[in-house]
Amino acid sequence: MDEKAFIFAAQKGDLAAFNQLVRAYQTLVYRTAYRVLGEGASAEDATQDAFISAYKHIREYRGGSFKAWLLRIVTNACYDQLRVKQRRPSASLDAMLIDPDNPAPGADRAAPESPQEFAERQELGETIQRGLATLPPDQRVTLVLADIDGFSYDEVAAATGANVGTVKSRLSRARSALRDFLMTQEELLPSRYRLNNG
Amino acid sequence: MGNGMPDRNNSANEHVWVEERLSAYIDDQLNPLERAQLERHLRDCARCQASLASLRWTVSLVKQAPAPALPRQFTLPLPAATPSTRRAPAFGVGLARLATVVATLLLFAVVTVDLLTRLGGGFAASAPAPAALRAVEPTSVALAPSSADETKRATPTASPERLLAVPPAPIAPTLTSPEVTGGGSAASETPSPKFATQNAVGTRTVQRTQPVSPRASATPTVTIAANAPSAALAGTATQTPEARATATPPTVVEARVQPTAAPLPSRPEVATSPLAVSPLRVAEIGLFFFMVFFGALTVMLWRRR
Ligand SMILES: [Zn+2]
Repeated sequence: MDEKAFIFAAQKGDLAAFNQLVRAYQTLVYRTAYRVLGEGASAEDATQDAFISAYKHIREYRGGSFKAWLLRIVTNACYDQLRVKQRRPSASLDAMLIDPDNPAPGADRAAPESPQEFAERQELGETIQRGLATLPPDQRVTLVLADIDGFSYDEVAAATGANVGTVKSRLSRARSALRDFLMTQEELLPSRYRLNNG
Repeated sequence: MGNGMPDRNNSANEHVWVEERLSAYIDDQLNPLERAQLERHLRDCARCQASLASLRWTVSLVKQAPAPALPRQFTLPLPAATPSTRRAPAFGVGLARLATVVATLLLFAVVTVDLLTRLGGGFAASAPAPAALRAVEPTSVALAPSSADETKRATPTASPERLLAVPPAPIAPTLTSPEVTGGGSAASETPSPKFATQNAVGTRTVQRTQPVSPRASATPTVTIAANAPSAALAGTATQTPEARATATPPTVVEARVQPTAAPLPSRPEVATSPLAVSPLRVAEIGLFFFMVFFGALTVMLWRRR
């Protein structure tokens, strides 16, 4: 797939071409929104708003990383959702809905996942989500972009409108805070995810 | 080196300094000097080693968190808010603007030609000659062949109604000028009082001879247009408006007088004068309307964006 060609066509008003970009990025966008917002309904709204906004402003895209450009829009859509909605506790069953076609980035392993491992990973996801909910939004967005989406510091800076130094310190504080949370939850985690049994 | 490691080994400050950099250290974002200092501390500090391990563990867990299932496809429906609906006006604005510019340039060109030929035709118009004399002025007819429908208009068989319908625009000055003489220059863009008075002289007879007829209804729409050529002139040819202004109304006067001339056999020569209405005049009026229309359209489309 030639992303540049789709972008170019979309800039000319070709919605079908833009929808090709949507298909390529919707998993990433939704996952980001979901991790930032903590539950499915808001994440769905933010994802939809982000793609509509991206299409409206597609002609303002001037090269560079399209993913970073898109995630900037997603980030703003998430902030909008956070402003509009009173966040409810994110210990949500939504976290149980795992997409088998889209395993987490660090999840590639030689053997296919057993049903038990699959269930344990759901538990992990739920715990992570609760931990993320304890972070201030700026730190949460930064951690999601860096550690879940795999963005570089520069890309996170571009997506959040912060400078790299700010990204560095936000990420450091976010990881420390999440670490502290996870350590309080360690006995609830499946044993293979525990710090001292890993 | 403001970020340099504190001097005192194993102090609380030093642990803090390391702790603050473990996250960047994991991502290999420290400069070589900082990294060396941090690693030197780590070798001897179990506490910071444990902190590093737990941080790595945290990042690893975050990366292993499963991706949420996509609840639905987020492709946009075709009739959704699309750039195409935004592009259309943008395209329309460009077109309307182009049309406005073209009309303006053409109008300028026609007015220039009109002026030049009139100036070439002599300044006799400034004299208080009778309207009929000026109507015979050959310029309008001489220029006529450039227009296709000129022949129709020039033919004596043209009905009075038609002639009236064609040159409505210049009527306005003749109607407004009496008011001008009485009540000031607000009503029209007359360049000089001389113009007003001269017109008044010419039109007063018209006003008298002209019964207020259905034709009068044509005049309000005309008022704007009548200002157009003179407005264009005022901006472009400041030297000549007077000459032109004096030349313009007479032909108009006759055009207007013509239908009423029938019941007034005392002025038969006037009756033939409507034929002198220049195609250039028609072109000026037409172009002016064209310009105004597309100018307004441009503004409208622009605002709607
Ligand atoms: Zn230490």
